[in-house]
Amino acid sequence: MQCERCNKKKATVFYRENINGRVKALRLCGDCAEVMEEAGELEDMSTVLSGAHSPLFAFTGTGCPIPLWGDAADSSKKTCPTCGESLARAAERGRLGCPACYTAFSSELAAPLRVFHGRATHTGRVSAGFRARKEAERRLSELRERLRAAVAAEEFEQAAAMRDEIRRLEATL
Amino acid sequence: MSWYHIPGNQQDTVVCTCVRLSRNLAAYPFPARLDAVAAKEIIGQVGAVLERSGFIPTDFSEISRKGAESLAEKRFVSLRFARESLPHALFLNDPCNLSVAVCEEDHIRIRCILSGLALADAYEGAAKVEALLDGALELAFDEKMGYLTASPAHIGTAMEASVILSLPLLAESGRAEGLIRHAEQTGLSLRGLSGGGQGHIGGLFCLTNRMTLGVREEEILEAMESAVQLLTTTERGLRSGLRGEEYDRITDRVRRAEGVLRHAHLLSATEAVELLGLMRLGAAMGISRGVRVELLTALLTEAMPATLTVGIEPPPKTRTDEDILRAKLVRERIFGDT
Ligand SMILES: [Zn+2]
Ligand SMILES: [Zn+2]
Repeated sequence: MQCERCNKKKATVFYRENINGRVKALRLCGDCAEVMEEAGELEDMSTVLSGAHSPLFAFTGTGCPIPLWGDAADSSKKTCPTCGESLARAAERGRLGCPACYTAFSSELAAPLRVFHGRATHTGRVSAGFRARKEAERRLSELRERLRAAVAAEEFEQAAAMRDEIRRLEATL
Repeated sequence: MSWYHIPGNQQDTVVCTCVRLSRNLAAYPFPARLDAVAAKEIIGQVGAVLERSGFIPTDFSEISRKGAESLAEKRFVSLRFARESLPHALFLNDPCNLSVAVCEEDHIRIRCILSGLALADAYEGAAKVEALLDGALELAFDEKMGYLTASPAHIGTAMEASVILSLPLLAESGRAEGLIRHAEQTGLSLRGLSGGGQGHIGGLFCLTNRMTLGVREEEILEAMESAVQLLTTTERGLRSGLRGEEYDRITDRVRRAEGVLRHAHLLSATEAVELLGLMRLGAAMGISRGVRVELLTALLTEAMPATLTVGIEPPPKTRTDEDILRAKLVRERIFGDT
């Protein structure tokens, strides 16, 4: 019997997953059981019922016990150049290594993200810090453009003022 | 004082509301790939901002495991966080309704938790703390993907709103299944607190949003709000529709629950949750008189294993000792007896 989560290793642990009273048996390898347990995705109902833990802990799982990636990720040798996380390991854990992983694995992530969320583009709150950096970048490129024009027109006094402004902006980024 | 001591909106059916915003720092790997030095750096940076705004830090290396688990029972952190070995910290505000967990699954998890139904207020509370941090730290944010989180399941708004509901009649009516499916179709998840496949403990349910990408925070809150209304109206309809024998049977169960809570010598955590749920129903239906519902909410936390026994010297040695303590606490709190 193979592990029902990774479909690779031999299943050694038998778990009962309990969602809304629908009990589902899960056969897992030791690694997958550990990953899911850590993430709070498996609730050992016997400890809940015996009162060893607060019954309210049964609510702390994420309710998303499916790995997000398909088979393609497993055979990939790709790694994130920023943190070194491999695509295969990230897919197995359902967690990425660092923010830059999203860029590194963007093509592999696109389809599962669409399936999970149903959408592909963020529409909510925008980080104020991000907005400020964007605005500074926009202003910088505009200034650089005007600086070139000023130099071409031999308006050196204005050009000097722009150079100062550019230096000041660059320091904030 | 803590969030659970304060009376909330629609307490007849809603226990509490929590809005969680997950944020990460752009310059560091996610906590699972973080070393202790970097984790301490992050705690320092986040802590500096929060302590300026009056948040009080908890150093997990200085509290017992039980103390840490108690913080999880109060819903300030996840259970896994309470047991984490990597340096991690929790910052709490004074009325204890805002918490910031640093180096949980994500670098920063801001939670606002309020009694009763309070989705808009809980979001506003969490968003205010987020704004403090957003101004001072560079957060991992992408125009297309939104806030970047360790799990791709949370990107976008990186917001998880949850409402814990007390729906004992609905749980027994056989209509729960259909409502669970309905919630799933609207991008939400409704889960019952179930005991090994047989019924729902204390009639408790947890409603959360599942999708976070491509929906605005306000849309998530609206969807949650209307799902809550559907669930609570259904439950209230079942309550007011009880006639004759049915009403007597419920009245009897409520009174028996009261009797057990008043006289039991041993009380397990699960039994306490079950009976407190029936008492909440009794209070809402006017069967039990003079019960303060917020007291029942508080006991859902205070009578739980870690919170009940933390700081008690000597600590209870057996489960029986713990159950005696619980029975005593519940008796004192609800009925004022000793
Ligand atoms: Zn496996
Ligand atoms: Zn990475």
